[in-house]
Amino acid sequence: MEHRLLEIHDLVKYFPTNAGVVHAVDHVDLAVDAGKTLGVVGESGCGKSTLGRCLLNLIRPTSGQVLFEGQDVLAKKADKKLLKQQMQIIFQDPYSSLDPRKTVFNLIAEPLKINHLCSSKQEMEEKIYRIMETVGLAERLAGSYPHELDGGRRQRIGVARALVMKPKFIVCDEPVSALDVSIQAQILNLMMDIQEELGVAYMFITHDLSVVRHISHSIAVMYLGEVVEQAPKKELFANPKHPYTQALLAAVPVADASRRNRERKLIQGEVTSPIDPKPGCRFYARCPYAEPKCQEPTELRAVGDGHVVRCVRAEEIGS
Amino acid sequence: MAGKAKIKKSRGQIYDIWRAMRSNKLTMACLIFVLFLIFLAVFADVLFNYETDIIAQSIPDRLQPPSALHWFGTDAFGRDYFGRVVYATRITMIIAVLATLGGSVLGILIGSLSAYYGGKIDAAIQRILDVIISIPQILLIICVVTVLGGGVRNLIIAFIFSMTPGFSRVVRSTVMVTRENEYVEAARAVGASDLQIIVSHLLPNSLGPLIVQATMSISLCILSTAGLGYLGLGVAAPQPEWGLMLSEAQEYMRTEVYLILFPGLAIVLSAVAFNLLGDGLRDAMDPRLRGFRRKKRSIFRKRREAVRG
Repeated sequence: MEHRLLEIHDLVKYFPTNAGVVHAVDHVDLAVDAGKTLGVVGESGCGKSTLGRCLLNLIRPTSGQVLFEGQDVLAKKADKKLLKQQMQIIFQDPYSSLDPRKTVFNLIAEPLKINHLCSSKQEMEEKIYRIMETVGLAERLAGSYPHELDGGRRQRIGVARALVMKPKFIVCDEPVSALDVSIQAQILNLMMDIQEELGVAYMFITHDLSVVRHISHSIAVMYLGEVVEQAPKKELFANPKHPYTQALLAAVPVADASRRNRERKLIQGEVTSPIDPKPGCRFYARCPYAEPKCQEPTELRAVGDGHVVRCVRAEEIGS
Repeated sequence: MAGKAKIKKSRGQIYDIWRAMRSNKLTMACLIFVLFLIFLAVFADVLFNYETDIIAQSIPDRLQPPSALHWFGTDAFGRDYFGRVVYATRITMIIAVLATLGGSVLGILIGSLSAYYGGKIDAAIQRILDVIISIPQILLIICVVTVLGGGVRNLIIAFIFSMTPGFSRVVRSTVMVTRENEYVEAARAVGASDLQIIVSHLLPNSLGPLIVQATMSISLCILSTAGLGYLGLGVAAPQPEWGLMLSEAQEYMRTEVYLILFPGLAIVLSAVAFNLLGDGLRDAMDPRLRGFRRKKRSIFRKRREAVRG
């Protein structure tokens, strides 16, 4: 049995707007095991980034529970300092997430300084140069400013900032989507190496299925604030049950000329508005398999080993 | 370890700013002039005796042109004009610097609170500032001076009162822009408190406009002090003050040009020097502007080299 590091119970985040209530994260239950990666995929606006920020309490959730090693992260009396050290985040855009007035050294030093983790200057320098080496930043760059570096190096700073406090869990909020493809691979491999070495767990938020396939152990698919399907990576790619997951997988380009003319189930129409959604399946309006009974409220249900799906017709569809 | 220490030392933030400033000749000239003004302001008491050199009248020596003894000549009461111009520097600088300091500190406080918390607090503060801003600045200063009376201290209070809204507006708008940057959220994610974020991220990134505003305020104070002095609303008569000296010199300006030339030059040069120093400082403090200038210069250099063949 693997060690459960993080458990999310019934997490809800609603944003009240003039037009109605946006259901950004709607009753999400997820769990991350120590040293493993949970990929969270979904299209833009499905609430995956909000979910990641809620976990770190950067956005205060409306309701629900986040347990980190059994401790409630959202509780008022939670040890916030310790939790900030244990749970970190890597941001999507390495251009705006680094203060342009700070050198690489000071950027990486910031978490250490704020949390008083170093007793001496020398200790801090040692820590910083060690972490720079870990993420593949040359020592001579310590005095550079972010605008002098390329996207890949900048994101390495982001990774170093997250890692320098030796966290056990890192939320990666689309950490490679702002980088070009050749650098994406570098950063992904770096993150996997770090996981192997240090045993950190990731929640990897992305819209890119090929990325998530590369790095994740299990995958959760989100649609309009809800988790519609969750399964171990292999199971999900081999045997997708939810029509939305199937459509997502069908949209992944395949590097195989013989399969160029394969039949692809593409979905039509736009994402339904997340403002005050109707009860029942949220994918109803776009689903090729929709039936009247889909308009009744649906629950996540188990359809296999560690495989849950939110679709009443999952068995018929997923064959 | 020694090598590592060296890397960091050679690229300290203050050093980087200094190096960028040093490469800009105009800024350096202004800096030297401003330092000179500050030197005069601080040591005016040592250089001259206020009672005997500055305000003591000596009618036989009146209206002498510049000479080795009286570098700037003497005024209508036979007082050494050089001493009076220098001593006026002290009074003007005290007013300008203290008023700007007070205005900027208050402005930073009000502006950053207003921007950081937003909502009703922001709205309330901004409406109050609107009222103050809607009154023309010079009129406001005259009102305050009329109520409180003239004199250096009351002038400073009047300037602080009229400048604080401007400062807090500038701080508020820049903080509101920088607040939206992702690095603020990144700082929060590593556990930074509100205060730490304001001090180490928001203020440094809002500093550019603030420096420009501050140096402009100093210039404005210099000009307003002179203006009020000229109108007889500022510093009182026996004390030397550039504006006051201009108004006293008015009668003689056709025959003794030096009487308006020196205080006039002092006003213009000090106001310009502070403005240009502010511009240079802002450029030097922003790492991105530093890089840009370096690049631009290298293009020119290349072109020159190309011309030379």
